Amino acid sequence: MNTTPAEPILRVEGLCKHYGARRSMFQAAAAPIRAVDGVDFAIQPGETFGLVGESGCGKTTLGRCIARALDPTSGRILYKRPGGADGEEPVDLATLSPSGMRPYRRDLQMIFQDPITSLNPRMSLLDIIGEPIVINGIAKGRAVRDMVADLLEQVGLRADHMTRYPHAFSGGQRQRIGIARALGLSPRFIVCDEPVSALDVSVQAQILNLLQDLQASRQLTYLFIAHDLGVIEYICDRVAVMYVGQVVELASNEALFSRPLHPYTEALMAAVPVPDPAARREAAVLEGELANAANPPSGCTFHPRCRYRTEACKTTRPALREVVPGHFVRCHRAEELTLAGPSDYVAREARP
Amino acid sequence: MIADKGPILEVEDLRTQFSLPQGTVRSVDGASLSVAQGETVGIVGESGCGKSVLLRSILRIVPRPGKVVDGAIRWRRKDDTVVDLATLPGDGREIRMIRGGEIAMIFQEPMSSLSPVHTIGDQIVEAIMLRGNTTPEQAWVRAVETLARVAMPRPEMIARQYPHELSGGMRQRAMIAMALSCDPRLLMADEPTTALDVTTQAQILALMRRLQREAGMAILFVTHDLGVVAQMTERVVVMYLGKVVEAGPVGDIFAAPLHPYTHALLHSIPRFGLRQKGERLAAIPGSIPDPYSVPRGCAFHARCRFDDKRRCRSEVPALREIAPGRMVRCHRAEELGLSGMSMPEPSPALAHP
Ligand SMILES: Nc1ncnc2c1ncn2[C@@H]1O[C@H](COP(=O)(O)OP(=O)(O)O)[C@@H](O)[C@H]1O
Ligand SMILES: Nc1ncnc2c1ncn2[C@@H]1O[C@H](COP(=O)(O)OP(=O)(O)O)[C@@H](O)[C@H]1O
Ligand SMILES: [Mg+2]
Ligand SMILES: [Mg+2]
Repeated sequence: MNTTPAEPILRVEGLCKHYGARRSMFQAAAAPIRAVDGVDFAIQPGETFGLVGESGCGKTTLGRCIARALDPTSGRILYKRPGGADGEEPVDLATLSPSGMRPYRRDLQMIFQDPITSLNPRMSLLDIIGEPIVINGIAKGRAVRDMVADLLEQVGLRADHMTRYPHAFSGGQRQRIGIARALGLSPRFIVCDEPVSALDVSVQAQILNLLQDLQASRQLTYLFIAHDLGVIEYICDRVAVMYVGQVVELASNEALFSRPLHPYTEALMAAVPVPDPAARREAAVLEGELANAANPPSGCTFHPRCRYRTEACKTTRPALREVVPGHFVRCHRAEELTLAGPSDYVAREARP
Repeated sequence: MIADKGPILEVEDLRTQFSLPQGTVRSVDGASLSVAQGETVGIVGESGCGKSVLLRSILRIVPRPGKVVDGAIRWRRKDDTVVDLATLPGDGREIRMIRGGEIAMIFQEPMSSLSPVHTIGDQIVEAIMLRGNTTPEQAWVRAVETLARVAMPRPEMIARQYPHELSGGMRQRAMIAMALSCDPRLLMADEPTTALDVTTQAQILALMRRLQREAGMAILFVTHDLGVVAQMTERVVVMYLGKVVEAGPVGDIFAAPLHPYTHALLHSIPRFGLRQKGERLAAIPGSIPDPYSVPRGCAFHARCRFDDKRRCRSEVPALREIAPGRMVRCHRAEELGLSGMSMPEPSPALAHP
């Protein structure tokens, strides 16, 4: 955890990704989908920065822009060069050409939700994990084998599995293969896009623990995307909550989960089924669905679903404000509302 | 609220197998459970443990080459006569009447039970007409009523739409409406909220609870989410590799699990507060074994912290009732004294304004 504000490894400023924004000569442009619509945050080296929100709110798009698997429409992605001196100007990844990006590709890796579709079924593990190592000229021949063997062991698989193909492995093991592949280039920063969402809880716990161990041993920084607040709370140091392409709340894990400041965060937390039959509740259910990113509501984009809305919320778009040091929220009423967090559902200490 | 009327469904020692060139998959391998009228029973276990095949066996819709090879599925009909669904011809009139009218099923993916080329309204009308005694006009009125019952906004309009025009949550409501249109006494739900966001899941779960209260039907709820089990069910059946390894009231199972597998599942959930206490998640080592090479003895022994290296590896434990209503399939159940989730108590100020 970072209490002293070190220099961030990554800072995004005004980042936007609008799909279908290009207009052709013959066609009136449809309204673009504002998948990511003006996102600002900074990630400290060594931290796990969480991104949470309903599906379609723009998490994957944001993650892919940061890893430059997608070209952002506008905004800056300021990245601290590996080995760069303190105070050195960061590079803006958003404006780099593919060749300019090359030195940073190794540094920024991604792992995905669905290891099955992200692994080529016709390649052996040696090829899957070895390919980026060879392409990037890190090793060749015998040395690649040794590296792959080592990587497999680091992610909890056996070195002699390298001749096998992905179909021979279970979902959790495939996720380990995806992690080994990402690690091969010794990245500093990994975008983890729902890496445990498709796994059973038992296996999910294995992968979460593995990611934590690797972070400690390799000083990794994670952007960790998930829709499961339990997972987010367990693994993240700081968390950004997204709604229709924008960050609506950003805070340290402890601050967010002890006292959410945005009504959307409160509603998300209330929706999580608590694994305790004694804490059964008819939660106040958040009605409606995520707003359309091509035509977001006026004012606060959350206002049609918000139980605390006022007239001002319908007309004026709130800014992301720092309401408590380090705790940012995009809500006009943040100071006056007292919202409930999970600690209100499960407050007292365990029975002996 | 467990009714005192005795079970409406009793599954006993059910076996469903797939004979494939590679070998025989014993998807359901001697499973037993019962459901009382109006009760919600949860079935949990990792993927591949046989939950879906079990539900499909009850309705006799196991895909080929799967076959119910042994056991009984006793279903109590409205007139209190009991039929054994396991012995009925799988495509006969009787099982089809039960399927359409007494037991309904909903799935994780609504598109698997909705037709893409018919409107939502027409599909519900068809389900209603199958049971006879209604004109198409009456059936249409009922279809729209049913859509309103599942809190579908603008039901007359939705009735005229096609499934692909709806969001995931709305499709799930449409499927529930279709299932409810025949007033089933048992609703079997196979991971109905797994593909949904927590917010939409909360909407669907609230809907199912309300419908159950209103209609008094029983629900057999398959899920791998222990949070959903805790919130929705009265009794829980835990499955591992086709067998029931533990069953009991939900409160008892969470407070004091008896089977090491249940214990391990409970402790692998990331739950609020774990991190602040600096605790690590307790993962279950390994993964579910290949269905062609089920371990000898207790099928869970290779992943079990309490493997005694002798009896656990040589002798298949029986499902035993070791306290009233508490069934467990473990040689060592009495001696282990496994801990529950030790959840902090809920605060009384829970109810929200
Ligand atoms: N390739 C694409 N073309 C057009 N729209 C897209 C594309 N990918 C995603 N979107 C839209 O962008 C929004 C954000 O999607 P996504 O980033 O996948 O969200 P999340 O990962 O939070 O579920 C959604 O409205 C989605 O439909
Ligand atoms: N159509 C099928 N053909 C062959 N094997 C199947 C088929 N359907 C399920 N199985 C096998 O039966 C077992 C139980 O599957 P299933 O009931 O789908 O598990 P769950 O629903 O608990 O995830 C698994 O080993 C699965 O591979
Ligand atoms: Mg996504
Ligand atoms: Mg299933």
